[in-house]
Amino acid sequence: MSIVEAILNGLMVGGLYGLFGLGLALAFGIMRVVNIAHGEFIVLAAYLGVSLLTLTPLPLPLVVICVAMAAFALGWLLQATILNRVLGPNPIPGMVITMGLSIMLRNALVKIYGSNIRSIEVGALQDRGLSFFGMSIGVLPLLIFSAAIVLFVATNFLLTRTTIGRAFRAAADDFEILETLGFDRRKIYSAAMGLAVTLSALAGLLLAMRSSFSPFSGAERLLIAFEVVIIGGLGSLRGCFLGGLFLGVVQVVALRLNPNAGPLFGHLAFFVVLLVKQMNFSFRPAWRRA
Amino acid sequence: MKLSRGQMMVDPRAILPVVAIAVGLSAGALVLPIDRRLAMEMLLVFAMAQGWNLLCGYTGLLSFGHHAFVGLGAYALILTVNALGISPYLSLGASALVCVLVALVMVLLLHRMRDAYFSIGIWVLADSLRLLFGQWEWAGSSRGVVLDASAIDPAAFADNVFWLALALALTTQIGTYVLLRSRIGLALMAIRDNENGAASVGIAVARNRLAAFVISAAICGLAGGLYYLSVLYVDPSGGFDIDWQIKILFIVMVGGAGTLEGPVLGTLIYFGLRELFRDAGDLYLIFQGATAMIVMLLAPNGIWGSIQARTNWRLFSIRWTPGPQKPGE
Repeated sequence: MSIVEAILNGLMVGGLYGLFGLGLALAFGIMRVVNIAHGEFIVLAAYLGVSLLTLTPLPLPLVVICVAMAAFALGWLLQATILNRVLGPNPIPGMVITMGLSIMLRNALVKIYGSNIRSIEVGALQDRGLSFFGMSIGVLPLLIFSAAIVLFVATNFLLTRTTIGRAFRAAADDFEILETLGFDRRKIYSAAMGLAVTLSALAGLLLAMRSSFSPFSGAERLLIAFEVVIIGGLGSLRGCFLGGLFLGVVQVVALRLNPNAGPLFGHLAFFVVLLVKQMNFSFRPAWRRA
Repeated sequence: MKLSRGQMMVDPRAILPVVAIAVGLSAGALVLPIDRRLAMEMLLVFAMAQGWNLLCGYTGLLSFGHHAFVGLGAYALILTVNALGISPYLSLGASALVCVLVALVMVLLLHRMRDAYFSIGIWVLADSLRLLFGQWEWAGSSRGVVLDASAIDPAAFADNVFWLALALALTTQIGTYVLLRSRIGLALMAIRDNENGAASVGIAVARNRLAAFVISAAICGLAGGLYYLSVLYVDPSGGFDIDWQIKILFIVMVGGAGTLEGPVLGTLIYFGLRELFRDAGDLYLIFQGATAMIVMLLAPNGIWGSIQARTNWRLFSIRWTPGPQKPGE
């Protein structure tokens, strides 16, 4: 039974992992930006959430909205003022700029909050659990998993049913045609980066409710996000979600079997998937298949 | 018309940069006995950066996982000294050897990956090594391993390590210079600029790229081995710290990837920033991040890349120019 329980718990973590990958996949799929600061955005949102909850009397839902709006503004600004200047076939300037940003954010967080571990307290919900068939599942992980699913469905709706979403996909496929239709590529990119950072921020808030974090948690999340995106295949929402579930299950089950080796088996599984896929990569995003 | 080596090679100036850097660094070593630690660290980080630049700047493979070789070099050195009781200076051979072997194994896994896939793939491998060494009881698991210092003569130790670091930095600089002026260098740059084009004129793409990868791995391994030899201790979170990679990336990208002068400049900028804000704790890291962002916005090819584009200065010229046609050819 404990293996089944581990798999279920792995799925719960995996939903969150999928969400880590989503923001990264959007930024790469649409703008070709490899966002090295992705992990720091996740952690930044978590800290912002903690600060708002402790310093202001706002309830949790309002805090989530505030953080999401701030994150959208940050993503928009980053793309509009900085990343739009280095568009082009060479991804390296964008990578180095976001790496510089990640160093700055990480160390600014250390300066402001210190390097201690934090988490968001969600009261009695933290310890409540559901029991069935002799297994127990936490209510909180279940809620976080549901939130991840809702965000994936919402993103899918946005990309397939709205004008801006269609513009995102068109920008990913062929921005020149998009511009002949009267869209400003740079504005589309800025909105897409806003969306990507918002999704990372929401993932960060969910992470903060689930587990503790420090200013140095970013790099680890970034690596997870990369693994999810590569396992799932770039440009596929469903792939991203399934990649997250896969990685979550592997890590939690491995952790159950050998308490020290969870992340190691995650890495191993990543390479197994790559080899199985015959390394038959395609860089063309295909949002249509999502 | 036959391609011959550029005029710089015939000109005595060709030897000048090498002489200049040798004299400069040797003089630095004599003048700087006050803070040899810093000078040694600079030389080693510079060697790592130049080794990484050989891979990234000249074959276009952007590795995010060269900290794997820093850690491996360190562990290989300390573990062979502890297990076999041989001189730590000889054990540097083990550092290089282990890194070459691991690099060859990595190539089996990574050889079909390009661009971001290669970057992330090698990062995952490096992180796996960190976790593996954290589990490996014989290598001290997460506590790390202390060098058995009984075979070391403490009087000359610091000096010896320093001179080895200097030798490594100079060998790396001059070695890459010579390598890049050779046919291999020409092949590497051709592959970087157009892989299919290079293959179509008969360049062995895979073999040349492998050579660059293995050489850069060995250089990082030697530098890592030397660094942790001077510290006398290594643990997984330090040896396989992503910070090594971030330093290397910063130095090469800010200085100018794909130039031999860039990493020199980048090293000076990195350590300059660090020493300037030494009293302000980790404040220099914030400035480091800001520097990376500003330089990439204003000069996407790095500072030296930008200088070179404007002034056409080349201290280490690796360009081939069409030479005068000799009669009868």
